[in-house]
Amino acid sequence: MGWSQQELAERIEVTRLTIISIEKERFDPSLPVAFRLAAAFDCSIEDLFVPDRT
Amino acid sequence: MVSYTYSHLYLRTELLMTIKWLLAAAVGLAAAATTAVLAWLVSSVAPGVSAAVFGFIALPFGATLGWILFVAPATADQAYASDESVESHWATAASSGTATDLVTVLGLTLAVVSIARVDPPATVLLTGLLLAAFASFTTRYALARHRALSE
Repeated sequence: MGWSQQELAERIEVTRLTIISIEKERFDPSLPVAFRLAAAFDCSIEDLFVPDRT
Repeated sequence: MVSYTYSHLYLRTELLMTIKWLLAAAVGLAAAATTAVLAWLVSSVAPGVSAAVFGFIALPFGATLGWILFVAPATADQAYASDESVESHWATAASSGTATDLVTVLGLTLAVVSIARVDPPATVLLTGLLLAAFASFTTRYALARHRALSE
């Protein structure tokens, strides 16, 4: 998509630090944020997130 | 006709913002006046000076309160839903830890005061408690942020 972290954050209405933390797998987003992320990338939530099996 | 409508709306918005700023200033003046009157009533020595000093000090706080109440909702960027940001997650975790820290500090302070048989003024104890809470929250928040953002 070529978006910066800031652009993505503005698109899904969260802060840039939230995007960074999600990328680093240090923060599990809420379901509404996950849905907005999936909508932004035009894919399903399962394409973006996989369950933690550990 | 269209330009008239736009200019009319612009003037109306400007008027509304002016009213909001005036309300904010009124809140500041009211807070300063109230504080000054209270200081004048309570102070036994130089009530006039006390009223002037306390009123002067209360003015910016009152004006800030007025700005928060009337101006900020129209001008400041609205925050995103707080429960969706990682910052709120850090703040919640830090607050929870701070509560535990405060109970610990209170218990230890009580033990020390009881054993040493000292009777420190309540002002000192409450100030210390407040500073401990600030320090605990700030440290815990900074640690959570550092852990989350570090590689």
